[in-house]
Amino acid sequence: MSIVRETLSTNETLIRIIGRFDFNTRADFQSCYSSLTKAGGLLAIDFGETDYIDSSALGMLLLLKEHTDSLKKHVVIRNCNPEVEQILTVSKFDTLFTIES
Amino acid sequence: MRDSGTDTHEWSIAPEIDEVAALVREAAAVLQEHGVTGEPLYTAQLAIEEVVSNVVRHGACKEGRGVNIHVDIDDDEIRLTVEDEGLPFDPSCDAPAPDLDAPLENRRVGGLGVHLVKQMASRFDYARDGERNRMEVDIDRAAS
Repeated sequence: MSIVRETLSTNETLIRIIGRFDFNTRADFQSCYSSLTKAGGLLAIDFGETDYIDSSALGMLLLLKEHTDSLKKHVVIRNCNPEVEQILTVSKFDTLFTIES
Repeated sequence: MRDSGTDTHEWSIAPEIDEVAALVREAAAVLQEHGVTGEPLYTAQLAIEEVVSNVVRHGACKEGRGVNIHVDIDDDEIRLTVEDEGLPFDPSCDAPAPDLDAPLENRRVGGLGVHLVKQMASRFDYARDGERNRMEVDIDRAAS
């Protein structure tokens, strides 16, 4: 498991989650987004290399959303595999985040 | 289930959250050895993690008593059985269901794990059997 943050442009940041996104990822994920302080722009969460998420991951996404809302930053979730997308949909996280295939 | 075509695998873990991740890894490896892939594999891992974590986090186990996990696998179905000797606790009734339509500030993670398992598995049942809580989850292998 690893989490990588990349600055794509002055207005777009990317976080890639590689492997399992679960309780054991909490500290790394939080440190990855909590240092984002610039208002506005786009944060993309790339699940293209994420093979598993659980309810702990959903909790982390809620905390991320609170942080990004306070910065008026838009969050897009990209490249989910079918199972990960099903988890997000069943939990109605598609009403909180833009989910792109 | 549990007929001559069923393979049964059993684990007993201490009621500690650090034990759950190793359990899920071992169970996933066993399932893959039986040719379980895709959505059924995902759902089985999710069910083990969410149900066992729930038992451990809510302190349902008496001191010194572990959590027993059985995974039965046949050609059609995976059955997960989780047993503990804690106080009676039915996660599908005793824990509040998550409000999935609530605005962000009122969204809670509590109850989401059980909700996910109930949505993705074909059956989720709780029973109090003597001094034991028993949860059974059935997962259809048809999507393999």
